[in-house]
Amino acid sequence: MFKGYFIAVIVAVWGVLLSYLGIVRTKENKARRKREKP
Amino acid sequence: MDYFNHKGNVALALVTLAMVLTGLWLIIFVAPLIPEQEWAQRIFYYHVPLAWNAFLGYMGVLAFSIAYLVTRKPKWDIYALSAAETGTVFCLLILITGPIWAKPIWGEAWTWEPRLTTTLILFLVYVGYFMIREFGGPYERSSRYAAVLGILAAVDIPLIYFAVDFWAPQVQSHPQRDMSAHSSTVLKIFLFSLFTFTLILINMYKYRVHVATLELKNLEETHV
Amino acid sequence: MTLIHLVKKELYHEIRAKESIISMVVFGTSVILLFSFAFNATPAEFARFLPGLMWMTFLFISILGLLRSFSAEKEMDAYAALLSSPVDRGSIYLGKLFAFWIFLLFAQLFILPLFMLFLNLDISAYPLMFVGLVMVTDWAIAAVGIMISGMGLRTRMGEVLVPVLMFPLMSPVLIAATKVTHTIVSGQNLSGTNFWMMILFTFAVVFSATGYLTFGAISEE
Repeated sequence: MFKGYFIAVIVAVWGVLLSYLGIVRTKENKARRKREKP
Repeated sequence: MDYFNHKGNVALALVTLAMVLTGLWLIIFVAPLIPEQEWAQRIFYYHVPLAWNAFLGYMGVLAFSIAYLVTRKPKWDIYALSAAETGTVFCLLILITGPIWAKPIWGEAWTWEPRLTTTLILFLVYVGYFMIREFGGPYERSSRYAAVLGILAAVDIPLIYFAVDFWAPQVQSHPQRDMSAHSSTVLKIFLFSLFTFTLILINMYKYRVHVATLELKNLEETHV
Repeated sequence: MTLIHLVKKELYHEIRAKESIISMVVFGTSVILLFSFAFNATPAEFARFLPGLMWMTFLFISILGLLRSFSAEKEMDAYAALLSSPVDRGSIYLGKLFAFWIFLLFAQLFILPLFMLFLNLDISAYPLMFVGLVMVTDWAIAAVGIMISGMGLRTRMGEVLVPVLMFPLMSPVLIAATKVTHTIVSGQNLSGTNFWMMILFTFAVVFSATGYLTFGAISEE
């Protein structure tokens, strides 16, 4: 019973965590590109 | 990614991944299925560890903010920023998982339950923290202001919690009740999950520190 | 000694400029009128919401007053002049706090009768308790407000940041003040209010101390 809610939580949690990691990764790439330009 | 050049970081990430997978296996196959609540009750293994670790993150913000104001060394500001970001991501997750948990258990997604309400207020406070970093002007000033706000926010937490708790005494939530009913297994899996999320927090925090250090170096070099 | 001078300076400026108090009183009056029109309720119905509305009104007018509390320093960069004088930063904070507290009380002196007249605010059960409540809550608002407006002063979007930062931080104060006011207005036993007064006192003390210690960091050039 209520399996759907449980799955929703797992998906939501990992979705947000991985999105945040993606955002930080984008910041890292941006910072690296800035350093390459003289 | 540069971050994984350091062997310690790789090891930490792998251990965390292993624990995440083990945790999921434990929650899905080993955790007792509580009558009437069943799968919805298992949300508790994610929701409560998120809360404890968000709190840990915000205590970090307090400590690092004080350290920054006292020493003015940028590394403390980087630690504070990273702790604030990761703590707030967890805070957002509490606000997402809470209503999903509440709907099957209480019938309504949002019942102004004291803990969730406190979390919402906290989330708004930290949105303000990021706004002041964004609009606070040059780094020397915005980092200082953010540190002050970080201290104000942390000091406010207990006051917010007690005020909200007594504001709505008729709305109760008892995750602890479930814990005592089937104590041993539930408690062990809960503690495992708690520790797993602490590791997740630490991983995210360390990566953010790594990137923020890079960003700060760029900032300093363009000013020299 | 210097603290008294700082407070006096604030008071003299206000008496001359009258910015803070007038804006607060006028805005407060408008809000009361708007509430009366918007809700269009009987006095009995209104009684339930009156404590909350009253404190929200005071919170709104405080924001207005706080935005003006550094106006003297903004003009002619008097701020730099103030900071270069050998005055302890914490004292500057306390001076502004105390002065704003007085301005807010003064404005409320005009607005509270309007609440009583138009919205049937009835504090006859515990008038002294009400006065005490207002004084402590105002101090709590001022303690946080002076810090936040000190930061908002030199920030882009400062006028937006002050309410955005203040409202979530002030939520315990709003909850506590409203609860105590509700008890006073409905004439119930005062014993239940001890907890809320404790929250207000703790808030006022803790944030005043934090402000005193950190205002140096806020006011650096």
